[in-house]
Amino acid sequence: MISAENSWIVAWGEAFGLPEGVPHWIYSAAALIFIFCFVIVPCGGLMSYFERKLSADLQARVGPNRAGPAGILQPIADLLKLLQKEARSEWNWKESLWLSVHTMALFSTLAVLPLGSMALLVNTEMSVFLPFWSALVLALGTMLLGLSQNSVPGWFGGIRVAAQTLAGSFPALISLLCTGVRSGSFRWSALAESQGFSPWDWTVVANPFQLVAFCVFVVSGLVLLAIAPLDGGLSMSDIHGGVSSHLYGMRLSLFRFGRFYGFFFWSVITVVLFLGAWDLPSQLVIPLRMGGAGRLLAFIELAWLLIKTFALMLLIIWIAKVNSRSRVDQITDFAWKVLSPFSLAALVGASLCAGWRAF
Amino acid sequence: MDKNQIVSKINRAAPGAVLEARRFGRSDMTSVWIEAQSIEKVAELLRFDPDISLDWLENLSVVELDGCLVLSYFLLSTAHPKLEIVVRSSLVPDTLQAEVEVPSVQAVWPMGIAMEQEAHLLFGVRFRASSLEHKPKQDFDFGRLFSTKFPDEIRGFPLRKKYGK
Amino acid sequence: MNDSNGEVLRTDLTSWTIGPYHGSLPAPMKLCLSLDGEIITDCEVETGFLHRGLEKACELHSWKATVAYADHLDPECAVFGELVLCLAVEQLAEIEVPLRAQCIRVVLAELARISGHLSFMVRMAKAVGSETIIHYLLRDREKILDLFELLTGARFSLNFLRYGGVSADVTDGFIERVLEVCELIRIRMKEYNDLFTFNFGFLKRTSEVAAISKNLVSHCGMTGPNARASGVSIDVRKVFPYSGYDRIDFEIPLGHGEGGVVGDVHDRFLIRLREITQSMEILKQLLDVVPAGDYMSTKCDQTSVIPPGESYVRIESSRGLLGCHVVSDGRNSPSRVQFRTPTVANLLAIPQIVRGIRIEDLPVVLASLDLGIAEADR
Repeated sequence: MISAENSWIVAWGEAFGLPEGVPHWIYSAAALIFIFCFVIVPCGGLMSYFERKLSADLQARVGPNRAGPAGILQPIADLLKLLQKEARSEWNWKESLWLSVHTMALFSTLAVLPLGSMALLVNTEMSVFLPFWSALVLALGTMLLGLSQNSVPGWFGGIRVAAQTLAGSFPALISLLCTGVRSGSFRWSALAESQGFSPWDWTVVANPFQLVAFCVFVVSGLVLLAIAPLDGGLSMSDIHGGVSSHLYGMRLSLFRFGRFYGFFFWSVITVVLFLGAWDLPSQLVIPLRMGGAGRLLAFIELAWLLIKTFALMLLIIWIAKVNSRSRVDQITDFAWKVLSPFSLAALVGASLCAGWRAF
Repeated sequence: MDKNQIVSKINRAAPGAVLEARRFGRSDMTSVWIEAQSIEKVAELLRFDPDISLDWLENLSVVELDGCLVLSYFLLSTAHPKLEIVVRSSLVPDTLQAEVEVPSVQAVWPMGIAMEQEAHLLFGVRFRASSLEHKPKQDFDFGRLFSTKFPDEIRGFPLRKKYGK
Repeated sequence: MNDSNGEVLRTDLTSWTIGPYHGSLPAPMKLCLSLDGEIITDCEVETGFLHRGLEKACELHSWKATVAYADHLDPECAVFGELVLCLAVEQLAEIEVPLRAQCIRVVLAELARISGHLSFMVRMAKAVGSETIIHYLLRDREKILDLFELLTGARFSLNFLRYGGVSADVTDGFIERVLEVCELIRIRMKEYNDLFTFNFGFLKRTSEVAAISKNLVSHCGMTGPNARASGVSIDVRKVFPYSGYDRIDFEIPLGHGEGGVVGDVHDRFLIRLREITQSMEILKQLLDVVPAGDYMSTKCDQTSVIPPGESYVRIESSRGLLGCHVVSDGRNSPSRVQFRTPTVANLLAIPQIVRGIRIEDLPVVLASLDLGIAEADR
């Protein structure tokens, strides 16, 4: 049944010409497809362009400069190239199975992705934890994808990814709790409302423990999802990419896009939890809301959210390009021995601060 | 330790081994020609005598001259840095493509493993295992862990003069 | 995990053959590893994939062509192959090399040493995963290759040295440019140190990894920076000086275990950094006073006959002790040219070095040994 909370979906649906009385799941499915095609994929394209230009600048090179002015159409060129790749003749059913599990686990988080105050499909107390759990399912899928390949790099890649994910999940979860402690609830809307537009209202500077929680959250996210520079599980130099060493063509593009998407959703969640979400100055928000330009407000919020997300992603990519990769056992040691104690300390401190304010 | 002393020591340790001692080419190095099959005793002396202690087999080169194969062992010493000597022997193969056999010096100079494998591949010089009564202690055993191979299509010994003819 | 009779999770030793082509190998070679989890317990090395028949080719062509073959001995540091061959033939034929030619040869050799060490750093960076520094290093190596091109016309395989000297004199402005490049690299060294050498992540990947003991060095006959990093001080330029090295004042850096253990990967890296500095020192001293004179011995030219005889000469290449045994019987082509290359000893030591390291360390360790398979296989 359509509840009052997500009646905005009906409003969106009407605006796009879907008839009334259509079951709710069609609205949700349409929303998911819309978000994937018009938000995620363009973000992927833009991000790949920025990443290539940034690394080129860092490395004293030029970067893409052929496709379009200053190479801005490079992502489209890449997309066209990937679409015309040849499919493989033989079929490894195990690989297909685990690749689909991997993909489903990843893209199921689309439903939970907080993209604005009016674009929240799942706005419950569990919203914050759902992406986290799907990251664990993702790791399971990746591990079995690796083990299903008939080669040593695949096995080692799979086991390493599993080890890394286990190590990174604990600090990630604990530092996640710190934000809820501050805002009193784990709903996306509550988390966004407890922060503001100005950086002084963001969770990350609310107290030093939240700052620690922010750092632990970002780093443990990198460990959890095997993102550079902590991507020992998918190491190129010795196991040729591990799990992806035997994927090619469309499957490899699917795998790589999945990796980008993992990075992207972790960054979006970080921004929503710690870096002010989509909050805009109230002088902007109230007139737009009163004036009935809800959809315009939604786009502006989305744009602001994405700008902050891109900034965070580019910062991490910058650090990855400049530094060397860590070994898998060094990463897991770091996660267990450094990140976990810090996250626990941050949780205790944040709870104390919240309790103090309540007095 | 000059060359005459070394030669006399070799004569005492391995009587009859030394054929001749002369200057190597136009350099200051000494070359000592010995009987091919007595290389083991000579090697043992040169390595383990504390006054000589030539413990580095720098190079083992095989040259085919007028139908004979000349082996040259270029030796250096870490204890006496300026000491350099070449121990040479010559072997005549029975037919143009036949193998020749010589005792191996791997037990004395383990770094010779790779050089001996190469000599075998390129020239057909077979090095038979050491029969020294007192084999020196080996810290590392990797004779079996290193191999140089040719593609299977190559038959015979490529660096011999009459290869392919 | 995969077994043809049902799914059984194997927990015993796995064997994995890497090669001939693999991302962690510098050149075609085969390593058969035995793995216990991620730790390498045993390793077999197989080489011979890059055998090009160089030594045989030298016998079939004229003496002039032999220099071109020697220069392809190690394509990365081509000068050393040519230098050792020319020195050997000059000793054999008793050709005197004029001082100016000796100076030019040593300048080229030291530039090749710097270029070789920069390539080493590129391989280390690639193995460790630092992508930015690779481009900076290559950009600086380009300056040296530009210098080679200015003087000889070629960037990598120079074919510039001749028996009795070099084939052309230095051009105008060459000396100034060499000094400029030295200055540039000196400034860049500081940048590399800040960015890369003392980077915490890099130190974690390279300290206390795959230490080579002095025992192993003398067992396998390792020479060059790998041996000096373990504390064994051998440098041919000091012990058997050639081409005027006895008149130059320079030091030999030794490894001191700044990463934790003497002779580990970090030591091998630091030693080559210091050798670059020493090479620049040598270049400055040489180019201070370049002797005037001929660049080529007037008593012989390229068509003169090399008399019968033999000789053996050793030099210090960027990888270690490079030796050349030349035998001539008075004909138009050599009777035998044999090269003693330093990488063979490193290959011999690999099974011992990689025992006990993790798979992820393997590319780093192989890169740190500066293997030149082309010269090992000839």
